[in-house]
Amino acid sequence: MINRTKMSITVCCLALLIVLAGCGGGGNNTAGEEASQGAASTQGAESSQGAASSQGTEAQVILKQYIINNANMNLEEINRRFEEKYPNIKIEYEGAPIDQFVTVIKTKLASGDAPDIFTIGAGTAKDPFVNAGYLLDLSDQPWVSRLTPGALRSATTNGKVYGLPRSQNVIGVIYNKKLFKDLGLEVPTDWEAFLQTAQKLKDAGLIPIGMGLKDQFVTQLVPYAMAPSAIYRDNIDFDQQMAEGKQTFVGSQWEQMMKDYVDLDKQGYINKGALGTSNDQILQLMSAGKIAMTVSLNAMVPALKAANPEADWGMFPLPYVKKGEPIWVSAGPALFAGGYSKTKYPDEVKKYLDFVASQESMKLILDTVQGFSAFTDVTPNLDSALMEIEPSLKTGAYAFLDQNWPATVQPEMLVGIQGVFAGGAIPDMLDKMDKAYNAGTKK
Amino acid sequence: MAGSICALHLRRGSMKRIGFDGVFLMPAFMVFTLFLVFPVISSFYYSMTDWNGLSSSMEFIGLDNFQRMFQDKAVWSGLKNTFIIALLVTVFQNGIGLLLALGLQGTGRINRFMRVWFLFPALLSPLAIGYIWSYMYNPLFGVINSILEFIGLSDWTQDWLGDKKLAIYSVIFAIIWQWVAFSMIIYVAGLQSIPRDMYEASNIDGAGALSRFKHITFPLIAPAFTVNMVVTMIVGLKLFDIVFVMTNGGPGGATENLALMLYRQAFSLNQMGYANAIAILMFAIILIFSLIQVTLLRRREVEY
Repeated sequence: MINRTKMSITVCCLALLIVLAGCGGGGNNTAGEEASQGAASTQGAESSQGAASSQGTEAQVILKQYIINNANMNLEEINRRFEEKYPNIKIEYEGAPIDQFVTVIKTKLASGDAPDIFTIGAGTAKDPFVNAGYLLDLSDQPWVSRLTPGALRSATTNGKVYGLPRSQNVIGVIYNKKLFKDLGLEVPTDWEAFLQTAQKLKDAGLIPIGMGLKDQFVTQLVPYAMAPSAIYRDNIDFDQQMAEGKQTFVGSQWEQMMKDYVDLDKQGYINKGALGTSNDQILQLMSAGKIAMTVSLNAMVPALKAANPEADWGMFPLPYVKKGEPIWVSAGPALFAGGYSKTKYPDEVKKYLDFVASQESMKLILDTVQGFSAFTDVTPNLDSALMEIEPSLKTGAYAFLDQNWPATVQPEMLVGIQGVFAGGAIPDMLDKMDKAYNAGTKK
Repeated sequence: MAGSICALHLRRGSMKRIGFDGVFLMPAFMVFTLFLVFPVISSFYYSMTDWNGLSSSMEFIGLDNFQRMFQDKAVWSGLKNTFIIALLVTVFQNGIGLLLALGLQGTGRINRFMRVWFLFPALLSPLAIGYIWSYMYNPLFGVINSILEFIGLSDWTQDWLGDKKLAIYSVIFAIIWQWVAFSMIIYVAGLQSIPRDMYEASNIDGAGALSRFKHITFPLIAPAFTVNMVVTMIVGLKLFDIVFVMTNGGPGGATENLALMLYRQAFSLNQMGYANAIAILMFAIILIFSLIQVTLLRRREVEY
């Protein structure tokens, strides 16, 4: 009986405490802000005590880092090296897959619980964050001068640099070298030859081109790989003309590109049931040697290697050109991260990004992700398959198209391409993209 | 609210309990208000703004989002898909669930085993189910097409998730497969609560199996029927996870329902205001349909 009374009193006290804590949050600050400040100050106090006892006077700084972790870039090792070099700065790393990241980062920023360093998108993808005033201006950083022009463009908005580029991703044709060799096939260098190669593979009972169009991001890879040769090689100002309203998707080279894309399916060169097949499933069939080629990102090569270490993979640019014309490649810079504009430690954030931008750290990241360099003075060790496409990058390259579009266009295009493969009309799709473009530039 | 609670207690003349109950109710009440009531109400406000989910500034634009919504063809097709999913899931999940319950209502070992067996899919995460079914539906190496080919029905093989007309039915099938035993369990509970003597009496009166079902079983499981119908319909109307994994609204929007559209508008298109307007539409639809269903179904519940 006494025990029960004691219990109820304890429970009452606990409940009261929770209520009071809840009420306490309703002061001048919003609850989230205060909670985060509270957390930060206690952490600061704890760690400063720790630092005082172990290393003397310098107070310890904790930088919160929130990064997309779809591709492993050996960040643990880089953070370890950084903390070794700057013992007074500690990196608190949190990773998330991309879908989760895009949802959560907005909530974190809106609630005032923002990380000091976080992943940002390249090109126009970062503009909403810049316009909302969330990103730290990094234009004065020493590494800016070492960037390749394309990487610099993708890190810049309104003339200021807001992100540290990480690597350049390339879209091309990844192929099974052994199958090509067995059938005596050469790497095609124009569209006619590409179609003939596909026909020969089909005649040999193989699936010439594997595409997992059920995953929306896959649908864009072929047009992205076509456009640099079909549009930008001859008219580098296409995007500028789009922005000025002098150009539309309807009536542009997009019509022929989409027609040729769908024809690959009509001719039976793309796997049957592409709209019902996912990218993972294509990867499995390809590593099993049933598919000869796919149009994909360079990141597919390490994934294929992991699935089948025995096979020999190669990568060449999609030759969407007439015989003898130069092939341009689709190469999109990816950003590593940007800094939070209202961070309490802007100098430490810049110190960290500068450390990541060093030749040594960048090489480690690129070797791990198997990506192409965004810096003029960094040369990674790449897989032989990727080295095969590397020289083509110097012929000419253009960024992933959405990096220069308003954010509204890409989702419309992804749905639209699926629609076209399901029997929809190409002009309708392009018309919707034009409308989405206009809707996105209104403000 | 607090006033009515006080009045109730004062009438009972137990002042001591008020404080005590209040202490226990307060935390839940506050958590509920803070994390549910407040966001729901603010959603009404955001639906009348052009907030992009990021910027600190936004403009109040009145009913523009709603006007735009009713002119948006994608919303109408999303609405159609939402209703197709809700209708078919409600009808078939309840129909098949009731049949299973009638077959497996006994308390014998086999019946119990089979009930657990059928319930397994409901215990798995809808995401896992989505992945499993998208492999089974795969047109190249999926088990469904392989079986069809094996038994000589290769004409019946389909691109189950890639075909614009078929995709939504393929998804609905997977949903029903996962949740049918959930409805079954509720029906079994309802069936087992029917007093045995009712059946004995009807036996003596010479009633056949069909009239026994019509006049005893069906009226007496009415509460279970109400719960099942309302729950499956609400789940069907707001379904998200399994569609997201299996088709992500594709191909070309053929399986996009309101919930997916809301997500896409809010998080990939940065149209938080518009997404909130869609959320309000969903809220209204679910509220209206639930009220209608509950009133209609409650009316036929009988006391015994």
